[in-house]
Order: sequence, then structure tokens, then C-alpha cells
Amino acid sequence: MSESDRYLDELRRALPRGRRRRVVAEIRSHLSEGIAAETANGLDPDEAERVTIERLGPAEQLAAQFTSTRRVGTRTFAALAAGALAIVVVGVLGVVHTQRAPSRPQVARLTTAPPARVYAVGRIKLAQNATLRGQIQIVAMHAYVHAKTTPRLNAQRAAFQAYVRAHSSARH
Amino acid sequence: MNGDALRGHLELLLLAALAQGEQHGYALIEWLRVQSEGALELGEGSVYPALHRLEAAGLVGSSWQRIAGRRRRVYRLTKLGQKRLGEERQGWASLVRTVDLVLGSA
Repeated sequence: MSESDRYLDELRRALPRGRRRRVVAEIRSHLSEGIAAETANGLDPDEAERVTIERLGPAEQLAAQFTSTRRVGTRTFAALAAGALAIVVVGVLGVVHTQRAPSRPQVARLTTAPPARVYAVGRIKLAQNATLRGQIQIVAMHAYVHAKTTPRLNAQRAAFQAYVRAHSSARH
Repeated sequence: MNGDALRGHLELLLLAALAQGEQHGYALIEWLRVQSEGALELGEGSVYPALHRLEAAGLVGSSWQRIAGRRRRVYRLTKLGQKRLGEERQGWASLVRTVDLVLGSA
């Protein structure tokens, strides 16, 4: 039994009955494609097979992704992209803000608000339509969640707030 | 980034790739290797469940084709998939515009 056969066998057993035929046929086609490509790249056939299988990831993990109940939702992409971007935005805003003396009301808001609010404060007017507003909310929400769970962001926020506090007391 | 976020991007990347024309899974994976290593962090196999999800949502269609003696499942964008890709592109562009405004005025 070749390594490919073993992999396909493990995959088949981990898949629900109704999905086995097509998925196994498709992954079999992938394996022969990959082995041919890697052999053409100069690997010997055994090595080509090993590399191709390894890149696919463990058979059980692959099977589990086929059975996940997740569906492609209408706003999935925008929301997920916004989430990724929010981390960057909050970080960059922190840097941008530290380079300028904020006004007193800004200081008051910035030192108490979670990073998501820092982002949203005074900027929500930019949302000129519902879609944009929805996206800002999504950005804000993700930024908040990530700030709660990401030590690095929390540290960044603390440093930023300390700087703002020091800066504002020096001015008054 | 968590697995969900990667998967979200992966689906969008696949729609964008298929906008260039129909492709089989292995070719899509080769394209992704060049475009975005991060999207394949869970293993190249992830592309297949993502394609199946897109198909279940009616955004892509697929069929078996025999090319040079090799049997391949070939995927193409449906009308609905083209529409969705357009919407996602607009959504992304307006998000980027907003962030640019925020950063430009901060």
C-alpha cells in the first residue's frame, strides 16, 4: 500500500458517507497532480509523494473541514477582513495620536475608552451610508475583542494611555 | 490570526482567482502559494473544503474534466459568484477609503 493509498484510506474513513466519493476522488487527483509536479521539479518519486501529502495537512484535519457546519455568509468576507484590519488600525492610530498633543476632551475619552472607541470617536460621521457604518461597527467590535484577548495590543494601549496622561498633565 | 479569519480570506481569494477563468484545485493551490502563504497555513487541503462551501453557497460550479489523460475537478465562478465578488471588492474598497480618511485626519 502506497503512502497515497494510506492517506486516502484514512481520509475516507474520517469523512461522512455521503461526501466520501467525490472528496476522495478529488484528493486522489490532487495527489497525482502534485507528485507529477514535484517529480518534474527534480524530486525522486517517493520524496515527491511525501512532500505532496505533507502539504495537504493531516487527513483527519482535512476531513473535519469538510464536515464543519460553517456556511459562506453574506457578510462573512467583509467582517473577517475588517477584523484583520482593525488590529492594524488600532495600532497605527495609537502611534499617530502619540505624535500630537490631543485636546482635553480627547484625552478624557482616549484614556477611558477601549481601543475600539479610540478608533470610532469623532469619526463615525465619516460613515455616510449604512454599509460604511456597518463596517465601522464591525471594525470597532473586532478591535475591542482583539484588545481584550491580545496581550500585545493591551500593552500597546497601556503605553499609549500612559503617554497621553503624561502629556496632558505636562500641559496643565 | 485565527482559523476562521484565514478561511474567510481563503474563500475571497478563491473567488478572485476564479474570476481569471476556470481552474482545477491543484492550479488554484499553486496560485495561492505565490499570492498568500498565510491563507494556506492550515494545509493546502483547506482549499477543497473552501471550494465545496463556495459551491454549496452557489458561488462556484464544478465538473470533472479529462485533460491529457488526467481527471480533474474544474471550478468556475457562477453569475452569483461574480456578483458577490463585485460586492466584496466594493465593500473592501470603501473600508480602505474610510480607514484612509481616519488615518489622514488623525
